[in-house]
Amino acid sequence: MPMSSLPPFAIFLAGALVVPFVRGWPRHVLLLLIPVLGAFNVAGIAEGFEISVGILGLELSLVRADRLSLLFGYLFHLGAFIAILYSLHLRKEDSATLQHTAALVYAGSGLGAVFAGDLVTLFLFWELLAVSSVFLVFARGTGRARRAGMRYLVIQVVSGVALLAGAMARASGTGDISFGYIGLEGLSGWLIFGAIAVKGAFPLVHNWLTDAYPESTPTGTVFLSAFTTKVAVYALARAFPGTELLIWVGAVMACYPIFFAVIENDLRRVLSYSMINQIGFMVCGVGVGTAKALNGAVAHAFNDVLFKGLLFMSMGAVLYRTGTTKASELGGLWKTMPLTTALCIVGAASISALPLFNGFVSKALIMTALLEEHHYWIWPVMLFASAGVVEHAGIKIPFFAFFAHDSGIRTREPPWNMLAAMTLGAAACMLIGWMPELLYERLPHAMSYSPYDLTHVLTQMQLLAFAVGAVVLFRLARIYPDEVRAVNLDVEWVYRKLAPAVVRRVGSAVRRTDAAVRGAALDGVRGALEGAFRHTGPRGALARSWPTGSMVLWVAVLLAAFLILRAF
Amino acid sequence: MNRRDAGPQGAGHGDGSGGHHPPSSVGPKATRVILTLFFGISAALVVVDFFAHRHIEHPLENIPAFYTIYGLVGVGALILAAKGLRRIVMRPEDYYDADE
Repeated sequence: MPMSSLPPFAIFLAGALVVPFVRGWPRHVLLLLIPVLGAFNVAGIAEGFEISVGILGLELSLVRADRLSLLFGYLFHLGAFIAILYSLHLRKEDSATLQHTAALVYAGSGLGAVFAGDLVTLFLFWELLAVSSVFLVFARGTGRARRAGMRYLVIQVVSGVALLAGAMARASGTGDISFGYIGLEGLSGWLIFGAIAVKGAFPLVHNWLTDAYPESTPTGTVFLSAFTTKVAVYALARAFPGTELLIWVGAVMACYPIFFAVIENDLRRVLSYSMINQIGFMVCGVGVGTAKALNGAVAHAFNDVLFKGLLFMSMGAVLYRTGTTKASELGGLWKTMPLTTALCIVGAASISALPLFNGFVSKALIMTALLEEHHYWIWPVMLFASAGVVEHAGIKIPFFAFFAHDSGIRTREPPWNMLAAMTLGAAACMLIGWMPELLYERLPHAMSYSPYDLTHVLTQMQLLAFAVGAVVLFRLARIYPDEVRAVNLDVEWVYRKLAPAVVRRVGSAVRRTDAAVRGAALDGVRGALEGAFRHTGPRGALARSWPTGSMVLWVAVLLAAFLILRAF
Repeated sequence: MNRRDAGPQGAGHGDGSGGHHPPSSVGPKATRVILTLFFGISAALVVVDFFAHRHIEHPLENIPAFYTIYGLVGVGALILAAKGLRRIVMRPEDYYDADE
């Protein structure tokens, strides 16, 4: 059997079975070998390659390779390799075996989902993504992580149930379970859309991301940032390209999280909000739906795994060394973590879409596509969101962690493997920035485009410089908001505060009613008992020992009554 | 191995009082150089806008130095709005912990 006929997920899942039984450096070698072998396997898969199996009368398409799925296949191998390298140092006290195994199953599920050719296979990997990744949150070992993980799991599983319901509705309606264009038609279309909306952290259903990702382990968040939401973007590009609603959803997504990112204190939570903002650009691109826009959406997903991964890695290094990522506690780390600082800045430049970094070459596609399709109202909104990225991800993340005021923390660089992983991520960000055709050639649709013309470079530099300028001026004028230890209410308030409060209220009302009813019943019983006691107790009328005379009298009365009755 | 090499020392900063600002981790001289460089580049980017011929696709782009204005005003408004948002949504750090 040639290598190229292996399903991409199989290598990771097989690896997950072996890794728990290997210790020490052989485990490290094995862990790194898995994505490398997987990459060779995927490189050998040609467009149009399929693996189908018949199970329970269903014809399942376990692997369906085309340009779209192959691009995500390459991406997930690259992302998995970087994240695995980043987590090699894990020790027993970090639940290393649990984290490594969960991460492999998780990465394998991501691959399974993007190569799934039918909705049932997609559903299986969709749920496996949730169930495996939650262990990366639990592995942090804190009560907070456990609770956030449970909320994450419930929401993710609900998304899977919606997907399954949608698939079943579609199968019963059309008899078709293939995973292709679906569109917003009928119940099944909306159910599948809803499932993707949850996984993609659409507005109102986004808090699982900002809740769970910052509570995961330093290394776990790097994995989390690579797969779940990117599977959602892939599924949108596959099933809902050109759906106009997505343009509006994307615009909202790109904008509202940046307000929260500005005031959030936990820098990994800032990156989580930032992630929703970046997905907004992708969702918008899918909504526009032209070849250039779709290319832009998936190219931006590709780049986001790299630069958001890099930023999460740099904050993971800070968390690993200092025990916190709270901006209010950090500052001045550049003195003792200069390499991490430099690598973080590369990530910040990339997400800010500075020319020569990868964010620029993919965001430009989406912005150009918006103008080409005359979305004149959306374009300024997305431009505002682009400027907002500079504020919270470009400046805030590196500034408050590594510069700002001197927190007095003196630490050192993270372990070599973390540095190596960050260097690899940074190199990939810069390579794609310098040679965008490396990425463009592999995009789903053929196009000729170069982001490097005078207009694009100049206007982007102007936007970025003055976005930074606003921050600088506000800092100098002392009106920039201080970093404060606090939480900010978001939609999650509904299920973290309101719902428990309602349940408590209802519970206490039920308890009160219950107490009243029981009380009344007990009073009744008590009354009956007291009555019985009164009549039959030691002083009761019915318990009195009657004198013989009264007995005779009663017998006489009875006899008289009998005679009278007989007489008639 | 002790991975927590150092803990945060000197509590009490970033408490929102804004009155006392602890020393910057970058020296005043370096700060001055960086800021001068930054403002120089920014000014140059405005000047270039009046000479370079950039393509116009959106009506807003006709405004001279549109992108610089948009970046400055956009982020300025963002920061002010976020400060306002804080008044509504900010709660103590253990706000949720009591219920969970």
